[in-house]
Amino acid sequence: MKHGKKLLLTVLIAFALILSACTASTAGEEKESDGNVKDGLLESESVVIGVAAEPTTLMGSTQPAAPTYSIIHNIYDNLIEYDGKGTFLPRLAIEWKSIDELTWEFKLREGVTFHNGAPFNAESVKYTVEYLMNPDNKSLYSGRWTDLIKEIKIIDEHTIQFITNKPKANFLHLVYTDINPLEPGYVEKVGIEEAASNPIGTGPYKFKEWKVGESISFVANEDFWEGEPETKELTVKFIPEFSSRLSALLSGDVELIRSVPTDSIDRVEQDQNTKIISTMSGKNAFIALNSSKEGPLQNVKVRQALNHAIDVDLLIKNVMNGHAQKLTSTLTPFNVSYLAVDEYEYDPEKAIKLLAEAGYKPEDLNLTFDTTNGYFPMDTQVVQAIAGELEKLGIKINVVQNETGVFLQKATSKGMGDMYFITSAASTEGESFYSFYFSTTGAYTYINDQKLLEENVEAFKIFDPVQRQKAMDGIQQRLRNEAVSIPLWTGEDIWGAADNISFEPKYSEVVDFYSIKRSK
Amino acid sequence: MVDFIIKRIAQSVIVVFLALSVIFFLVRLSGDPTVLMIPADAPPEQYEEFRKQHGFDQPIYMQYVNFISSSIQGDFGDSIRMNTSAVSLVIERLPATFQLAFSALALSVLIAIPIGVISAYRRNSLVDRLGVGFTILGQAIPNFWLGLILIYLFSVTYQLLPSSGGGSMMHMLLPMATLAMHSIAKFARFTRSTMLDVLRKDYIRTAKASGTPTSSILMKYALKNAFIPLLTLISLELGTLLGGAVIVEVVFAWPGLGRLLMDALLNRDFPVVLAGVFFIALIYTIINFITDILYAFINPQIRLQ
Repeated sequence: MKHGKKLLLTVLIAFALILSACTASTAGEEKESDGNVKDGLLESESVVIGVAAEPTTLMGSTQPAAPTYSIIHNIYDNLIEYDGKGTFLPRLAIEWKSIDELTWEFKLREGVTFHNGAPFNAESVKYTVEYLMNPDNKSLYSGRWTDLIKEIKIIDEHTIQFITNKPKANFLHLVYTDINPLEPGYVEKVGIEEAASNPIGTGPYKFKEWKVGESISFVANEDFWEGEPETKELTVKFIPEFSSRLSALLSGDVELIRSVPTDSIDRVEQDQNTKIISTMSGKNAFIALNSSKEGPLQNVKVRQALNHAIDVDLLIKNVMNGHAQKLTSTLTPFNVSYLAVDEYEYDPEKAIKLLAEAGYKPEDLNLTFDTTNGYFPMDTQVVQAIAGELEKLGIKINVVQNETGVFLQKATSKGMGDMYFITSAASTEGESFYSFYFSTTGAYTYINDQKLLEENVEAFKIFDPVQRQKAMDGIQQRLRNEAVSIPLWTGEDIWGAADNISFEPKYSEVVDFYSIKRSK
Repeated sequence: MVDFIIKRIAQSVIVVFLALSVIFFLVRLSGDPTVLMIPADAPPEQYEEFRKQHGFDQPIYMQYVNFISSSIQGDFGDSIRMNTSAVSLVIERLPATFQLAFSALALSVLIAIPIGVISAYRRNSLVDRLGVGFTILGQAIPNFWLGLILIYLFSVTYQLLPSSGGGSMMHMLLPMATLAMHSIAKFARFTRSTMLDVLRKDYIRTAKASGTPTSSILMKYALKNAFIPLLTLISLELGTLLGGAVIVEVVFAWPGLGRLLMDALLNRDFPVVLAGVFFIALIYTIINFITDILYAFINPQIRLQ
């Protein structure tokens, strides 16, 4: 028994040692850096944000997915910015023009420096575009640039020209989203892997520390060209679960949280220390109708009938809690090519009449309806409500809930059922939206009318702005008449915030750290 | 003894290999990660290029052969999503997961064993009933719900503890308590039932008859004998805690391996999933291995077999 006692003691000691080894190293490190965050700073100068997802890289011009782009944009900045109302605003570029259909010239802001002190100039812009086009760098933007760019010419220190292989009327929209200027000297010196985890840019915030799986912290860039940001320190915490994010806000652990679902808005507003900050976003929620598949949806009258059968206002009121704006066109008002077209007003009787004209009784229709589950805002709730409305008319709806990966795979491999619910990210020009959903080569296109699709693609080639807009108007009118989809709404980008925090969310849902302030 | 150890090492290698093989084919059943990674407006060549880069263009048996030959050398490839080594991503997360699992285990042992011992000794008393009730509750409450309730009580209402995140000891208390709840219940029930068995034994009756003090009977004679089967349960539970803390890690935004694995699974980041499973399987078999050897030490009968 004595032997056993010793053994037990040894096991316990070993156990305690392992435990203390684990705790001491990690906890010790974290504590130290936690302490540093507040060093020399008043609490009021630092703000903590809670978001759901973590970036996959901190390299600029590499990854367009929202969790990454929202952070990247604040470290690197952009050449220009689109305001969602038809105008481009200067940022790192102060002037731009198209010299001819194939040549674009940008004048860059002088006196801007990177976080390491290196000057920002035409060379860094050229380097960035060459970086994103190089397949070795695995930038997800590469596809749309490699075929487009013929030559990049540095005219002088602060002037750069892009010469394209073909006219590209929406070139500025690509420049806006895709170019986050990199510092060539730095990237060359440390290599891409290091530059991706220790980024250097020109943006309002300098990268400080990335605790993987936990948070990224930033300090204000005192040399920022627009002036030093008011909030001196900023930490973005990753809290995947919404209930936990909400608790973090209510307990004061974080002061700003992203993506509040519409059914939780009341909870935030009822707490006396928190409030909702929201803005209409350019997100485009709609139901795509599949006419590429044999069946009743190939008949335009059936598609129009479905449009008449859904009470969008009621859905906005009951499912979206009023936090959405009804759409009639395939584009949103934030898109520069937008045209307000007539809506298909809610009229179930007309729907039944149209079905009869097409030779169907509502009971004859048996449609599959694909949706994601928790990927797009309120997706399953919206789809169930719509299915309910259609079933009231007697139409049979088979809702298929897909895991996100399965949904995307089905969508891109033409495997969708009769209709699917989708929420497209904010698009700023007609081509970028239509080339996806309603063009001959679109990955998400489910239209059997080839002529219609070809006419759309023809419009993309028009360079003259007036003619182009005319063509875009035509597309919207045709797509409306053909009832290729059921437009629903643009939703809001909804944030929960501590009462003393001010912040301006944007239609594009890109988070602008510069606008986050604390009232003194 | 040496034979025994060699045999167990060989078995462990086979277990890890089989676990990896099963997961390799299972994750591939979920589909192709390309659509999740490449923007939908990218030209088809970019899709092809991506598939080629990651070897998805090859037949599945070739992918398997390549995977096995490189993983034997410790190379699980780069994360599809992060473009960095999958193994290093996993190793980065291990300390946080260890910290949480070991402390939850220690907490459960410290709480569960006294509950079990007292319940067994004072069988059918109020203390026993409360103990049993508590353990049933503990096993019945879902982690997810308990976590949210604890956050609501300790962070939102009383603001005593941080609601989520990792780092300090304070951050660890709530996830640790949530994770430990189930193990406490399991250990306490098990301790109670084995203690009841032991307490019925003749040698305990003899000890009682000879006037040995109760504390000595419980601690010296009864618990020590009850501890042997408990040891297996604890070691198995550690494996469960290491691999099964996913929900707790998500609720508390704890930067551990469970969360990394869940993100990787949802994004079909196969290399990270496989590297994660490899480490969990490895740790699990190592723990089992150590338990077996400890067993052999404690119980010479096993050694002799």
